Amino acid sequence: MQLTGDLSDFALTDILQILALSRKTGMVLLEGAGWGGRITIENGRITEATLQPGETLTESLALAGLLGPNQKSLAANGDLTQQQLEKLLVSTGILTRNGLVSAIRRHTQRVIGRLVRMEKGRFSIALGELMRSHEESSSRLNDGLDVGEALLYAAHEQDESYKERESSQEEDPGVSLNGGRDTRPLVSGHHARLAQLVDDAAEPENLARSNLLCSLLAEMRQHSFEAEVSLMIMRYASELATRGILFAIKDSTLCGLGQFGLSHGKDGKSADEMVRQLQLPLDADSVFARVVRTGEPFVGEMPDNYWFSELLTRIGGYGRELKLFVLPLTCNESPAFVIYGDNYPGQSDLKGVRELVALASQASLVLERIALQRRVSQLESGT
Amino acid sequence: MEARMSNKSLLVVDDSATMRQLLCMTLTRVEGITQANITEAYDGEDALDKVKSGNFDLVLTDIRMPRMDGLEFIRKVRSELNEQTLPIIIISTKGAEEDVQTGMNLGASGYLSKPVSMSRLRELVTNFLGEH
Repeated sequence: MQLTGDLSDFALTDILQILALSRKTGMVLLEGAGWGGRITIENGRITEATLQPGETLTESLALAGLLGPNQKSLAANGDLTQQQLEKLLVSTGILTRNGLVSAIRRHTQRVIGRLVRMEKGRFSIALGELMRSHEESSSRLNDGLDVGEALLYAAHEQDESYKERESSQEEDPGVSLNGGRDTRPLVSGHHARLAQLVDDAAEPENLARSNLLCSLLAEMRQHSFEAEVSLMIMRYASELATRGILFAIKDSTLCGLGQFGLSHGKDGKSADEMVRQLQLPLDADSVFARVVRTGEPFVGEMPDNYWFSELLTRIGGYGRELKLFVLPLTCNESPAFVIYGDNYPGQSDLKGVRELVALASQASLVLERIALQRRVSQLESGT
Repeated sequence: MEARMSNKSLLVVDDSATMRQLLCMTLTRVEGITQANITEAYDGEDALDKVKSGNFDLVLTDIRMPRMDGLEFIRKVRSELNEQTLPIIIISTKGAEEDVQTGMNLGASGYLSKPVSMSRLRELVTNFLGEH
């Protein structure tokens, strides 16, 4: 175990985003009053999720009518191993192998949805650790589930349950998993419409990205720390660009804060370390300076500029024809962060930058709210 | 408290980028501390370079790291740099009590055992930064 804490401090969605972004393997163990859960992540993708009390995969399949009386009695002795389940369902022709994978995927999404809605409880993060039984577990998804996709499902499920509760509130208050607290929809009507716009004539390969965008937009509103908001933008940017750098604006300099997709720097320095040492002056003439000055994003071909050459010399890619974007994240009408992304080594396209710009624009609003809340809190405490 | 914390500078040393990120996010839950207050180092050698060139109010360091481990880092800070007042908190793996003892003998100011409790970490950091 590396870190333990309370879900009220650190939302499960944040934890999953961090592990996904860093492509980590490990477990997130969750525990609350009368419930316990476990999410297994391998290389940043969710490969298993369990919640107790709650349906196991075998029980889900039985409820769906996929297990006959004989199989049910076998399953009654405990959850089956993957091999046993395959034997029961695939070998007997009840399901194809793909059908079984889909069933496991749906089960995992449902469990993640329920876990994300748990607002009270504690978590433990165990990096690099997996349960011994994980390899054989029947509910293990070999290819894993994208964290963004899982969170989107959770958002939709929560939205649906909110709507249902709203319509039947007077008749039956119902029982909610979060102890009866009011649950705001993760996807508001506005965001759902925005996602619809993004989805217009969506190509299949864009769908997963649109889904991720929708989930990030919904989730972003709930954050109250700048780091979380910028992390989410980087999470989405990593779907479009092969490399990215998050810069903070300090005085008249852009200072590297974080990155994705960069390889190790010179002198054995890690990519993170290299980025931390990046400083670009904003008083010099560059696209970065223009983006910060105007607040307008830049998307296009690599400009012929000294500071870009300098940047590419440091991070690699000097002399290549790259496509890139430079986006501002503003707070109180002044840029606070700048996000750089490119398509190094130049063989892929930068698709979906329009959506990223929309996400950055929403993020700016959230940053303003955070700053405002902090100011109010300061005024209230008299500091 | 917030105004006082906003001037503080922290160094987080861990060879795992994810662990650094989790620690940083935990630290930003301390009132007044933002990402801008935190510097990261990926091993003892990197941390030593940063301590030489920076001015930190608190260091959080893992023990087992490549190139230079946390214990060697503490030893060098205390003996070679002769930096006696900089608070250094070690983060140790469960069952590595010997490492903790060695670290404390070398001049560590406190320790946290993994799993690191977010609330305990915040408490410790607030106490140390409040005192200095």
